[in-house]
Amino acid sequence: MVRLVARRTAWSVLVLFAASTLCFVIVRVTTDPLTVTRASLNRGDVDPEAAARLLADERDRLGLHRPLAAQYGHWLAGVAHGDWGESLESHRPVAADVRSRLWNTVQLIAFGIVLAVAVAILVGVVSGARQYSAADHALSGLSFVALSMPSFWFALMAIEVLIYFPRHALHLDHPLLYSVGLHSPSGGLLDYARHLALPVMTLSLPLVAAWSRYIRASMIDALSAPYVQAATAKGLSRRQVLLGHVLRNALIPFTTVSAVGIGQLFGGVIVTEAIFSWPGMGQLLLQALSDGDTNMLLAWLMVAATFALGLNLLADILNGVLDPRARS
Amino acid sequence: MTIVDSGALTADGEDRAARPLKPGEPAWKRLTHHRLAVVGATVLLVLALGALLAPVLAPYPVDPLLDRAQLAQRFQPPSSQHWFGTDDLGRDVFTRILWGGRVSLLIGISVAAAATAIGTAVGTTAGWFGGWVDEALMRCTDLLLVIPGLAVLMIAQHGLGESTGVIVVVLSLSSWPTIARVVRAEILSLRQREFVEAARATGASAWRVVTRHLLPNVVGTITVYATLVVGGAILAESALAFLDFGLPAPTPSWGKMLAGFKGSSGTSTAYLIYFPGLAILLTVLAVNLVGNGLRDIADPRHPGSVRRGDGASSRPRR
Amino acid sequence: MNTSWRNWSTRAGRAVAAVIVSLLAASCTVGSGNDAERVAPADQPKEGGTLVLGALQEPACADWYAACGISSVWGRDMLSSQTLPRAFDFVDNVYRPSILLAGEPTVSPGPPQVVTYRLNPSAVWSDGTRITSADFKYTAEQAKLAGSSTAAAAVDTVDASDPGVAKVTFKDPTPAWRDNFARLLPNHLLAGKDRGAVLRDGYTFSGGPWALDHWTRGVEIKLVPNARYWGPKPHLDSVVFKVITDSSAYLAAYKTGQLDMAYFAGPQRDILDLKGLTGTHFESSIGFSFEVVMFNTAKPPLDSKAVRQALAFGADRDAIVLQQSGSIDPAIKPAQALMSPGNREWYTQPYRRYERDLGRVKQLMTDDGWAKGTDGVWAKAGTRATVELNTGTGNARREQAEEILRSQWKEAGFDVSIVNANPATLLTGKWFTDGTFQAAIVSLAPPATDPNLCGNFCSKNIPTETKPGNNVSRIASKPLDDLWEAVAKELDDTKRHELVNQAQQTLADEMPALPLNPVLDIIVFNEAKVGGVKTNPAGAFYNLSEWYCRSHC
Repeated sequence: MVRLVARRTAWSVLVLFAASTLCFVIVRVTTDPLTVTRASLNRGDVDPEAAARLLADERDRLGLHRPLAAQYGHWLAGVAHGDWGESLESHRPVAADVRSRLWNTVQLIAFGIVLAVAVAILVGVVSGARQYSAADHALSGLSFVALSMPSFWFALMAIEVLIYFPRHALHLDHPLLYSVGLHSPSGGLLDYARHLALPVMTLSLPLVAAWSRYIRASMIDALSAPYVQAATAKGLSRRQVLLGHVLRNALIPFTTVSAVGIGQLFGGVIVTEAIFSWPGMGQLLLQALSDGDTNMLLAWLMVAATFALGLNLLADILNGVLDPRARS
Repeated sequence: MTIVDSGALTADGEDRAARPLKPGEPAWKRLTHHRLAVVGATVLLVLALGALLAPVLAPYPVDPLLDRAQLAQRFQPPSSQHWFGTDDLGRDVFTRILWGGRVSLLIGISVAAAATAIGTAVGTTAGWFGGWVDEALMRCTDLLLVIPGLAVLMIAQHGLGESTGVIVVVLSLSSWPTIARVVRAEILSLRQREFVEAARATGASAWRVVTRHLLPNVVGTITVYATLVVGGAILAESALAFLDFGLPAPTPSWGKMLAGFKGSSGTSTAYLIYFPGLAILLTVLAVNLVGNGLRDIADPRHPGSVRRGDGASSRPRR
Repeated sequence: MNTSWRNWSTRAGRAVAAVIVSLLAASCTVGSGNDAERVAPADQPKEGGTLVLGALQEPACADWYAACGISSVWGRDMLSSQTLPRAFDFVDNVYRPSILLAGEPTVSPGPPQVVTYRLNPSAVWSDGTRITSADFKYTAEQAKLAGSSTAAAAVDTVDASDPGVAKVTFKDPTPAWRDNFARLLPNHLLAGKDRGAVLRDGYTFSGGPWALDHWTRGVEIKLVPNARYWGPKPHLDSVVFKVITDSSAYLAAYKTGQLDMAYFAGPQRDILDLKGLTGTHFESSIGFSFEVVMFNTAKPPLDSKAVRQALAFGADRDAIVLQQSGSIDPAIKPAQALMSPGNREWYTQPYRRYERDLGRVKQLMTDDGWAKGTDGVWAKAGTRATVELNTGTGNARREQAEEILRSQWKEAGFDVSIVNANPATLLTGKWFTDGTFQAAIVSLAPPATDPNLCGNFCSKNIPTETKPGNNVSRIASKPLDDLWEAVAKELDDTKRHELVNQAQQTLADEMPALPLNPVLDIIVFNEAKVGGVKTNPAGAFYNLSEWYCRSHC
């Protein structure tokens, strides 16, 4: 077990290193680090001589005259020491911005996962236990629809149905739920929930759909296993068999699947955060993209890669713990 | 990205609403007994025909002269003249939906084709050779899976400008690792089987064994995943359009049409987001249903089996 | 139990009644016709309350003399003008000495030109320190370091020996001197410190009617009244700007009542829909920004003046402008100079002769040696007249203009394709710098009211890899250079008008750019809730202090 963990961790570090190279290449091939400076010098009527001087200074400051490999080495050495450089746009340390944004995104993702897991297990158990029942057909149909919908479309419709319509029909002064950003600093728990509801719902919808299908299948699979028949023969009630034996066994593969799925969520939050003005990592990426802030882009990609790798590693380890056959 | 979500879809229990299969029945015949898959395939066929025959079927020109008379036609709600209404430049939305199908389906299919080709090649190589080749190739797929494809796509578009080509290339690059993993897992398990041993014993070349004996057995699984990539790519295109990273005008695409009027929900022009949204929903739903049906057929084991060990549902064992 | 049921039923009854009332109101609105023209009822401003507004962008920093602060027009115009004192107010197209000054400054034309500002003795910073000539001196130094404008660069010395009098000496004659000291910084808080570090995340000191209460990046900016302001006090208790960068989210937030007001620099196609909402009031005015098609005069086929003029004759600009802004302002016309009609003092109309006329297109092209090929596209010596049209992604209004132009130019015999790109990284950062673009729709936002366009159309400002510049059309014309040079130095108002007029005539003939629409500043608000809002070419928030809350704040 220890060997497995050590081996997988070593591989992850290696992949992370490779990812850093790939990220650096992607960002630097597509984006010129002088973009931010150029953009600001192109505004207003800056004296051309002064502009040329300011641009040359920035080029020197960023060390852009050196070969790309040397610049990569410099950046990587900084990152290894926890120095992510400063934002080219705001000149604030990248790490500080990332930290505050990451915390907001983590809140969104965490609640999204809790909701998705709870609903997915519920839906999966209901439809898995009664295969081909009316409830199963209805839930399966809904899952397919949810998986086939652009998530921003769902979000816009949700805003319409859950905020716009009730407010206008009932003439409320304040909307029932909010579609803009974080809770107000003074607001309590209820205020927090009213802000979180829609973004969390949007983020978890495709997860619920995919995971409930998975749990349903695992349930069906487990129901036909010999130990279930044995348990039933022993005289345990259907409820006891389902929850005590079937679900437990069905959840084992699900833990690894969900860990890998969660690792991919960074892509999903971009759209959700944009619609709900959620001040998290997704918004940070969009801002960095429109500014051409290469330092911020690099940090963003590295955080996303580390997050995904970490969860893949967790999936591997969980797999090893829960399924002894995988340890070899 | 959405592709991963739909990957989990295939880990699904069967949904056969028809009689059990007889061994040796041709696949297409089995598919026709899968009611939902038939519905999906029919819808897809209609949509594809609509897109292909858009020049004939469309009631209005897709690229009219935008003079004052044309512009005056803007924002007309759905009517008998304009079934889906008109857009901000007075163009017929139904016409644009038909033409837009061409772009959306083209993106979906080309991404699926490219991703399948790369994924199959890499997965087969890794599974067949094993050892360090396998390890190296699988670490490469890990690498591509940990960097969010949507973000890379946006960065690429920022550096290279709007184009269908960039979208197809980047989406293909971020979709193939899933397929590679699945193919590798299948090849690994097939490699141990007697018929492969037998073929090798007769002195057949590796190429021959792979192409004649192994791949035909994996085609079913590959097809399933390829259909899911189609749906994922169409959704990804619309998500990108929403984030203002789209295809250049005047090419109509469903994602771009939907995203262009994202602000009109809850107003009198909300119909502008209903129809492209429905077109996307219908297409991806149909593709997913067909994929689901194909998965049932590709799985030769007993009904209700979960395909443990396929790449998207859990990580390959080693 | 009984009571709560009664409550509920009363509430339900009220809701039903309210729905009916709103339906009636809606039908009344339809009946009364032009809703936007209706003037909000005049009543006594109420004190207190908070208004929540949206901000579609957020400044990268609050240092208005650094690149990160300059680049946000909203941040510069709203935040800085409410929190920092300025020498001149610009209202209704007239410069007036602000409440900071004790009267009109005296100007001695020199040479050297000397401007003497007398300060209002009651003007103080929010910590009670008097605003003095030392602040003028410090601000002038910082503006010069940043190279923020030609008027700032022309300042030679500031004599601050008398705290109540700032005597500013210019190196060169500077007719645009009123644009200086638009954002005065406190010398006593900043001198000797790293200005960027102090101002970056927002500053709590103030010399204007409002002060920054807090700024949570990506979330909101809150302003509260500056208690020590010596002028008229704001009516509201606070103003909150919610940062909402996605346009659909922005609209949804207004429609669902999460914002009391929304501000737009130029209409997007979506906001037309807001006109249908009952109680929504539109306030708009023509600002100083305007949009143009910039032609790259160094890139074939646009290196030919005849081709550029032919393109101008091939476009129905009236239709484009009406299509974009007509439902907000039915009287709107295209800009007929490379200047917004909002700049009333200097606006002339030399581009008026360019109206869609395919006969003129044909004549110009034929005289220039072009002939239409079998595909209906002009060709000359085997080269077809192809034009790639660019603009920044994510701007619905410009994308609309692009599509209309493409279609109309296609009919006029040009093969036009559209390629859009991220404004900063690709369009201005790369294509404008290396000159690879052909034609692009951009907005020209003059940093001040001054009519001098040397920055955009003087040959010394052609950008290169090492030297940034704003003359992206790459027009290099000696007469034009000379005219702008003279405009920059001419102190006599009548002569200066004549020079500007000549320069604009030359531009209309050379056609480095085709003006399209002036950009409307639009404020949308719920008129039952908000009062006192006026817009002005100098910025939609200029009278923020006079805004008040009618109810429910």
